[in-house]
Amino acid sequence: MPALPAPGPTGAAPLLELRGVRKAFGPVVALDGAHFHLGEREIHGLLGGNGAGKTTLMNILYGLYRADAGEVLLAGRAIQIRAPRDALRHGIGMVHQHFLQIESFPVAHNVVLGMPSRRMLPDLAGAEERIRALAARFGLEADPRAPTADLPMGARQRVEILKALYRDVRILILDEPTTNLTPQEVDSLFASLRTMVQDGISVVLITHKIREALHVCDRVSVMRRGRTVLTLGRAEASEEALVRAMVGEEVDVRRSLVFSSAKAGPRPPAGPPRLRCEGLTVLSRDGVALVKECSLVAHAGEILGIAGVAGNGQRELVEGLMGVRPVARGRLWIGDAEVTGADTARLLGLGVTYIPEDRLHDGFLPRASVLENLVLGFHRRPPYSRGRWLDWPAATDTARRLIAEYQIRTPGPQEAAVNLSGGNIQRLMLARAFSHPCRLLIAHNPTRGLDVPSTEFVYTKLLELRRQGVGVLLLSEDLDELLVLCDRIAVLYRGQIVGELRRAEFDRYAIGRLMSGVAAAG
Amino acid sequence: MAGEVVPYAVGVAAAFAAVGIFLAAMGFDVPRAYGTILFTSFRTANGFVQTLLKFVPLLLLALAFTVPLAAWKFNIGGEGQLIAGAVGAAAAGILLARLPAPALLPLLLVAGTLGGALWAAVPAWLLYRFGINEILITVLMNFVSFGVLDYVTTEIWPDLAAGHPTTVPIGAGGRLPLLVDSPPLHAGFILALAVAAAVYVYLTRSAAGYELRATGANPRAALLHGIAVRRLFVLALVLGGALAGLAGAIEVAGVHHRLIEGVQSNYLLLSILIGLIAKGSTLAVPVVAFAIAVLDVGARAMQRTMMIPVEVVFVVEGLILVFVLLADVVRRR
Amino acid sequence: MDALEAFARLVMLTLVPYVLAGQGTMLAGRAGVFNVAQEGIMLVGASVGFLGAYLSGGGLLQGMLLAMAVGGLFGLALAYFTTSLKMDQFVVGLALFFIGLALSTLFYRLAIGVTLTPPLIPTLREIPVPGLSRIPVLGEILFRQNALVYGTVLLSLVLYLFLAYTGPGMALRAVGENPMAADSLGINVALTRYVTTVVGSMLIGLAGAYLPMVYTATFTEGMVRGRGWLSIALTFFGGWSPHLIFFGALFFAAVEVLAFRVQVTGVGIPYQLILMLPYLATIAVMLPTFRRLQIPAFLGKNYDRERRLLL
Repeated sequence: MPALPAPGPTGAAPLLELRGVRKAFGPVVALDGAHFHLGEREIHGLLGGNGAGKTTLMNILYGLYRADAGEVLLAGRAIQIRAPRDALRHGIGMVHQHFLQIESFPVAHNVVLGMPSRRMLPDLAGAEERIRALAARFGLEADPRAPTADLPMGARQRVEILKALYRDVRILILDEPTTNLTPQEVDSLFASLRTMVQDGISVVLITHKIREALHVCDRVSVMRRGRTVLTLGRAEASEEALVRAMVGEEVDVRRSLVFSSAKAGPRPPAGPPRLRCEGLTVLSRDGVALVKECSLVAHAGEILGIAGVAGNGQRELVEGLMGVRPVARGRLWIGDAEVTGADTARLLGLGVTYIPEDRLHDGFLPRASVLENLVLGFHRRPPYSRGRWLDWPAATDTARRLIAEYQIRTPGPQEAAVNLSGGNIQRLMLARAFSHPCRLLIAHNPTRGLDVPSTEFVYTKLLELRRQGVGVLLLSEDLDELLVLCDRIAVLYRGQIVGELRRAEFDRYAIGRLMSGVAAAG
Repeated sequence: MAGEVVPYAVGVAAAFAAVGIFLAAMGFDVPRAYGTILFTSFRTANGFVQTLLKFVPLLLLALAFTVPLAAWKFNIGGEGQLIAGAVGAAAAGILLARLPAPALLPLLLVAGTLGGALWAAVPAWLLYRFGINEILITVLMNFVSFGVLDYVTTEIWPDLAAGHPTTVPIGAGGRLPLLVDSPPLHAGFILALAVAAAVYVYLTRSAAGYELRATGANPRAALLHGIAVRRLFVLALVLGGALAGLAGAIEVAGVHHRLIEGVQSNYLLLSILIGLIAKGSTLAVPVVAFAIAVLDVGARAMQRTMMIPVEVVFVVEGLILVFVLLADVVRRR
Repeated sequence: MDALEAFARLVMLTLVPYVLAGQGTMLAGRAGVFNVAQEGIMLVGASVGFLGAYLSGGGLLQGMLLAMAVGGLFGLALAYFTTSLKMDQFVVGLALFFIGLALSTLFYRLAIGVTLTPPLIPTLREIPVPGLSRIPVLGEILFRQNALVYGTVLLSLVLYLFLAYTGPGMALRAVGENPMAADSLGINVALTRYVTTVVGSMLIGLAGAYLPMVYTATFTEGMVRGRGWLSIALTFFGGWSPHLIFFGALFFAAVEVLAFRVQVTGVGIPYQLILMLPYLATIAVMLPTFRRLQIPAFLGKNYDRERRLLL
């Protein structure tokens, strides 16, 4: 790994200070007196698991949320931030996890959008020139004329950063910026951040990855449960101290899967194939191949991982496998049964369980009860149904059992599901996914957005299913997750399987090369 | 349960109050007007039966709106579907006029139901095949149905002796039997209630009903969990059309005994109002439909006796909807 | 040549309410607000437009301004209930449609009552453009029309330039495509929705007022005859773009004029079929239209900054 230059001075007075910030969404307290100091010319990591409050705190700083209590001080002076307009005026910019770009605009329009101007007609030629200059200066390659919709993830993120730099921000907040990057792109990003710091910009790096924080940050603050628990300079910070601060007593760190870097013990051999696809091809509406000639086998009792940066065909592959998208070419088997062209209901009936990526948009029924949510996908099978009619009493019994088992906090199965807190909704979705025995589990980013204990739970459950002989196909954009859990990892790039590694061969940078499209050696 | 009723009650009171102030300012006798609106249905047997006769098509048309609404599809075409059903029923009743009652009446009702279902199949298919917004097409089909109705009543089976466009009468066997002779209340009343009950059971207890509701709650989630969402949209709209078609058939078989221009009355707008006020709940729809029927009878009486335009009551009903929706918002906070 | 010329003149005259209502729908829609109350707003615009003109002794301008004001109020209600209270846009639109319908007749009845002969207002005069109106053929069609025809053409041009080339126009489009992105860059999403919805509804109200002021000189129940719904179809047909909406309206207007002509001259086709023609034709043109994904991504969806879940 290339070494980075030593960090700048950390003894300076804080450039930015957040004090005593409180924020509640209804009954859920997201921030409970959090604080944060940012110095001049530093990269300050904000570390914590999902739900710790990091993004909420920064959203308050950026004006997207209003705090219930607390203050913000810029260079010692208290300021009011009521909307992103105010934050931008004070030189604060933010790059969000989910890129905020207008697909149909070219890059330059997205960068220039909303900038206050005295003229009605924006000077687009001048803007393009300035964008190119900024891109060159900070190592953020971008073509101002390119249509945003065509850009890959890494490029779109560079556009997001350029949006902030274009507005001459002095403070740049990045929310989990490495989620959609290959290891090589991560290095490039960190190099750009260093250049920004040299130029006088201070950076806040929100992340849940300890290794990253240690690698690039001058200081690290850890948040847990809405509070700022610890702040350490790079010299004093150690992985152990940070982990303990992140999870406290909730997780036994020694036996944790989430924080394990050592490879787990030897694995028993896999059984007969549960999923087999050959030459699977999925086309877009314009006939472009989004998935090209994919061939995979997932065996009983093994976890097959699919690695790749988001946008390389994962969603289309899963939807093709699950019968949600039409498959142009190729054949598919579940166990011994050929299911080429089968619809989703048939696949579910053959014992396939699917955990979709965006559990809320893809799996949650807001206007329904908890009970009705638990039944979704299994509603035509016993015990929930008898023939064409639903057996609500039996379903209610099962629901009560699941609510207890997964510790979903709700008054009862009849409760409107929309009243549940975010964390409990996630548990509800997991309860449903694991509520029925299955022979094949297809999971797409199953731990995205989950806090550390829930992530632990899912990892444990996946390994347990594996032990029970279930075949697991795990598509994940989190390479660490795949390295911990999988028996084999296949890499998806531009819709094609470009390589496959067995557990003994796992190497982060080799996989990273495959994820970037560099051909595998040998 | 009490929490459910209070917002309605407050909304109703507020709407009446608001309009009452306006009427008083214009110099009208508000207590007498409101007395007429609210109690005309209950003062005479005739008034009550008139109310029930309106209740039947209002109930069925409201269901024709709320069943697709469960899948979050907006069927604004109840009018056209009712007319299509009436045309189908009248066609059966006139062409097969010589059949005796046990044969003709069921045929007539089935023809009407099918007519409405077919009329709704057009927007349903356009939605399925081309993704065209159903609000647009269902409404446009209403206007098309007016032309069809006019053509049937003036060109195909016109009753030339009548003063305005209407067909010749249907066969005697096609008439719905009367529950009460005088004032005449036809058996369609029982049929409509039975259908409403069947709809309720279907939506809440059957797997298909669950799938409809899941589709309305989150079509993407439904799709990913094995539900044939696009087919369900078609099913929802066609079911709505069938219910409206049945309403048309009942109007022909029970009320007019022929097909008349204007068979659709003002039922469409009121039925959408009922569906929205009832917030799509199949249990609330009959109650709200009955209330709207009472107000409609009362409004016409008020216009006759006090020269106050019926539209006043429409405004009250519109305000009731607005206040009920507002109550929802307040409750969410 | 004369018949064709007369036909073209009529088409220019007839397209005004379609274009006004279409642009009004488009404006709100490009910011994400899907107005479905047009039929009701046009009716109440026709009613108060007529009443404003009649009660002020023939002042058409007063009528138009009143219609725009009332239309704006409906727009304000739509904006408030959807943007601030986050109610479903279709439900609110249907409620407003109903209320507009009821109020239009109510206002007329209360103001005029029942009369044997309908009360009349003067109709919009033609204003020939000096010089240009002498051009053979084109001069008659394009430059001897009433003020609103000219206004509608200009409006469409201005809207096109505004949306395509100006900074605020870009911001408006962004609000309808990705309100979260617009919000994060300091654009006031709620204000944009309010302004476009109110202005759009003012245009729709004006479209309604045009009907008594040009066609019938009086108000009758149901005189909008579905043009409000047709304007929604027109907006989709025109891909939510001001210039395409204008040209698309030529088609809708042509069908309406044609239907009227055939009805009057009696070509042997049953006149009911002719009556149905505009609606059937609209259904037919919708088929290829919906394939093109020109619809603003957030049309019909409400935006809530703090609850990013679109529930």
